[in-house]
Amino acid sequence: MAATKTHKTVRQSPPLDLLHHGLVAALLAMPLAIWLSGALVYHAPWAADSLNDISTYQVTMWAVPPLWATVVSLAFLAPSKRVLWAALLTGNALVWGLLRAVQA
Amino acid sequence: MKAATLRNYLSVHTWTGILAGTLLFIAFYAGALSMFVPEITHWSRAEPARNNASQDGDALVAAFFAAHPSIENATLVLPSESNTAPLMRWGPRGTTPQQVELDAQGQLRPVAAPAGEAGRFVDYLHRKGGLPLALDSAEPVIGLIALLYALALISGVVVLLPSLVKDLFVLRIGRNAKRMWLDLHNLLGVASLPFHVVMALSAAVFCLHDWIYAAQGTLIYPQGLRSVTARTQPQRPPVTLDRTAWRNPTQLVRDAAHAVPGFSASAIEYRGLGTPKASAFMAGTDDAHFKRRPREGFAVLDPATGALVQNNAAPGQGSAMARAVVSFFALHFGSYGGMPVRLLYAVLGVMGAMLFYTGNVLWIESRSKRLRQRPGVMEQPRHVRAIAAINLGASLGCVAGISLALVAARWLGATPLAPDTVLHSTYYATFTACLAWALVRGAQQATVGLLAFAALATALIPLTSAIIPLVASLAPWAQVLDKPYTNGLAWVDGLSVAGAALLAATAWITHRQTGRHRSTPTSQTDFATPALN
Repeated sequence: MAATKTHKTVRQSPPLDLLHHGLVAALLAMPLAIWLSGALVYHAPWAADSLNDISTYQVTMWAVPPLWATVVSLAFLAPSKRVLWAALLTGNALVWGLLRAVQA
Repeated sequence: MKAATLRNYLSVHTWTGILAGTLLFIAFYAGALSMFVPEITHWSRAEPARNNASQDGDALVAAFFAAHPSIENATLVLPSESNTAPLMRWGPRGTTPQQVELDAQGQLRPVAAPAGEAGRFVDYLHRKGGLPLALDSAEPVIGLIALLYALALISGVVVLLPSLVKDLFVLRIGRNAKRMWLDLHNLLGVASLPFHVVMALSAAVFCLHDWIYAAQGTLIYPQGLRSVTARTQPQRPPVTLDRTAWRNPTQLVRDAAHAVPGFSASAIEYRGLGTPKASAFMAGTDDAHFKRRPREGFAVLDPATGALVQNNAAPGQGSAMARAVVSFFALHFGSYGGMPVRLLYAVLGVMGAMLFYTGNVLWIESRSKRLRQRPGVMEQPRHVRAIAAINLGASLGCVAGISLALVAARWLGATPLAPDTVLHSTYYATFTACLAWALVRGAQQATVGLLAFAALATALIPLTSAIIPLVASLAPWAQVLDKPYTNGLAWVDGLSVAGAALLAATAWITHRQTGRHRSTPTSQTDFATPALN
């Protein structure tokens, strides 16, 4: 058991993997967070009455950093590079679809 | 949670922390002081005597409009603790403004405008994280640092969760230095977590909003951002160009207080003068509500009718969305609840600076400890020594630099030297000297001296306040430096006394600890990193 553990620590290089995870997540979380901000705030059904309000598009902008940070933080749960890419690309596609659906 | 997952989050926490920590220390320490921007400005600048200035703001505005009919924007600053009589200010943004007041005979006369404001200098240090760059260049850097900081917060909480209940209120002060620093770091972090979440996310927005708006204009607004902003412009009837038919400032202040209960005006900025879109942006306080700026909210009035034409930044007014936006700003600025909240924010700001200092020390301790376990390794490697010295030198250099910059600005206020030059050169010279001293001597050797130096520099602030009245009575040149002692000046002096005492006590404790461990080689002592808390 102990031997396996040591073996794993030697073979994996967590900082490098994490750098890849971090950079990919930081990049792909951007469009995701922006589409999500549009879907959840500006184009959401509950904001329909406040589109002429100067503050609505400001709140939509304020929503981006918390959404971005949440997505990037969750990305470190992805056990491999393949899962990470798949999850983020699927997430982007789903959120883009959601935005299109609420805009329609 | 799996051990491997925890280990990954610990790595994320460590690396985001070490990349952002030192800049965040400066941003937080200067940010804590920026809770007192007007008081710091008032404390450090030479203020012209305003002998026999008229208190009639209405007459001042009327005389100003008659004398300067073509100026588009001008601000009436109402009397306050740091402004004894109303004055009219105008000029392009980013340049030294022109100012006039009325004399006792009702004639306009110029008032020398300050060429630099120490409070604004401290605020800019806060917004730039101390980087010697233009604000526009520094802000994107700080925005990215704020995002790293948000990740450090989330990953730090994830790492702490499994042992949260067990470790939170335990502070193990003893021979295990790393344990002590970790306990302190956790306690500071958890105790002020909501404050840090607010700061990280709002700082990211303040610095990166242009980029985010641009991306949203492309990705979520099919007709672009401009079409979205255009539909939010309030429609109102044109304003008469005859300014003699407008409401005077006293009436406008009353109109605003009527429309926005609890609103107490401090300045009226006339915008769009000479156009049918003219408006009166009235700045004012109301401690019972969130405010859009560090001290003030805004009520926008029609200057001819006194009608409230825009309420989205007026304290306690506006739609739910408007109140949400104002709350985001106010939570960052601490602009609610008045002085008690400002003091709380100043304490939380200093605690935040300590969080980053302790985080960096943990990084250094972990590496030192790991290396100490290797046979034959007698001292810290060069990069660990460099990080330790930078952490110490930059932190105490910032503390000492700000204190000395304020003192220099006050004493040199009577000379032709521009206050901005004095502030910048004193701060960066002190900062660089402290950093160089720490790098040359090493963190271990430089700590006590730098702490004592920072304590002395900070103590010079109240000492200056005590000495200047004495000098002013003896030397005519020093008379312009003296000023009536107000509550605002007492806050600056009082907080500096507290800061200097804290720094001096830390220097003394560290000196005794270093003495106790002097016989042990650096690489083996458990207090390899000096205490600074």
